[in-house]
Amino acid sequence: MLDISQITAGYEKKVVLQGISHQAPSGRIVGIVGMNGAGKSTFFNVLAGIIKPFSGNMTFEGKPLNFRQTGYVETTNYFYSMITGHEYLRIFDQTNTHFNLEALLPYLHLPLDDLIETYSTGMKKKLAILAVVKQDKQVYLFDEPFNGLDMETNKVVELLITALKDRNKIVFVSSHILEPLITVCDEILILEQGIFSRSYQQENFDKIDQELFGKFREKVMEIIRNAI
Amino acid sequence: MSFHLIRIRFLQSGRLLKELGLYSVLIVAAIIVGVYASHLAFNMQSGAVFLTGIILLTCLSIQSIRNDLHFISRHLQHPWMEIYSEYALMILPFAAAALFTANWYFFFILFACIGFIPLYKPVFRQRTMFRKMGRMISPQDFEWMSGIRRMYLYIFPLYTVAVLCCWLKILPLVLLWIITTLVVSFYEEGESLQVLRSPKLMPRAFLLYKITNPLLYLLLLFLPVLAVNVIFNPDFLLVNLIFIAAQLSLACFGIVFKYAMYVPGAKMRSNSIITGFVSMASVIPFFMPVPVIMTVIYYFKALKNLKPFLYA
Repeated sequence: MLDISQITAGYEKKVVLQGISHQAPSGRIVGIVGMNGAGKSTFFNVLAGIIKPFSGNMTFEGKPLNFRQTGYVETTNYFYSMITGHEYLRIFDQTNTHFNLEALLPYLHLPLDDLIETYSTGMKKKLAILAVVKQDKQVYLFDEPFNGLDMETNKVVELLITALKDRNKIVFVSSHILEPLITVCDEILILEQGIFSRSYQQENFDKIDQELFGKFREKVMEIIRNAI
Repeated sequence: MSFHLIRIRFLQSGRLLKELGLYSVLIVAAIIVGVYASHLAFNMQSGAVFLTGIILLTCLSIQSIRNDLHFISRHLQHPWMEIYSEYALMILPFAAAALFTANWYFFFILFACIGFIPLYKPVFRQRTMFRKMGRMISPQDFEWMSGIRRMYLYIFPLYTVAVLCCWLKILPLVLLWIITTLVVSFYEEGESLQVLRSPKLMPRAFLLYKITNPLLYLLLLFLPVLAVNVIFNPDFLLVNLIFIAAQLSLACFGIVFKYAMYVPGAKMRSNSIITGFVSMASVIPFFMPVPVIMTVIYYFKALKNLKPFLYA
């Protein structure tokens, strides 16, 4: 069980997360949805130990969360220049004993012998995800993992995330678009103004769109109809 | 005619000088020394030819690695003029030193020759060089893999000449020093946080881990050349020992300096100016302790800087 309790965090004087709390049992996929600037990346950075929270605490199985237990795929992935995909993956120790790169490669279409500079955005994203799932972690954080992926790879990433859940891992996934989250998540949290304002369990996912965008859709649709 | 590039460079230089703070005084001092040295070189016919070659090669190597050529040719109205004026401004203080010597015409030769440089448009190579390098170099020394791929056109010829001339007194040492300086430039990029955290070490152990292998690689490269050099020049034993110590401390400095300035995924171009000064100091007799002192100073800064990134 990962217990996040009353986390307040931000940058210098700006408070982004305003006392957020959440509990996630092992084997759970939690989706985070929020507008730009809502604090999704800050939340991930706090969980990954990059940003120290101003207050609050995080425990895993009753002990303070050790950040070595978290694997993090950031929104934008930076790769050292002039190294190949294979060389990049070799930097990380394979602690996940189930990880089988050869079996995954036919579905990922990654030219691992080529320089990463020659990769597309989606390829870079896939490489970053592979590097993280190669390592055995208790908590996986995927910030916008579906950005720039083609439909087939999108499905592969969804399946990868589901497989992590089957291995009893806790996975946090954020996305600008709801669809992939609805497919993979057990729970979706709405991050608004630094707090989890709403939480939806799988059986209520059909209500998210209506509750989040119902009024907005009606209002904007009317404007658009009159404007074009 | 508008000089957009020069205007951008002025803005960039202003920002860089601000970032460098007191070190900017050293840049001004280095330019003054460079201009004076150019004046001395232009006074001799052979020196003038040599310096002209060095200046042209420098401009050519900048042209071959710059990544704004596509932007310039696509968006600026007079691409040739923009690039030419940039190189002209860059070499002006050094070339102008020729005007006050008997070899004044080298000034005009230089300005005529750099006219051809904007015409050279390097093609980005997609081919992966040295695919098997990962077998010889540890994956954690990705800076070396990346650096060798970027710099092999300089490193291999320099090392070959150093090996072929290892019986000479000074030349091999100069060439090996240039190689160390190039190696230090491998460390001007901040890796991603994932990569930084991959060895799962605390800052002190991490720095030691990052320093050990590169020093071994340098020793392996340099020792054969220096050993033969000492056999032919036994009176140079002490010089060689001091040289290797200075080069290793320079490499150490390059690594700790990178982590003192480390920001995940950031290119730290302004580092090259400071490492350039420390590199110069490593071969000037009275300044040889500079790399050691700088290593100690920046080692503690690196420990402090890495703390939030490495779970400490």
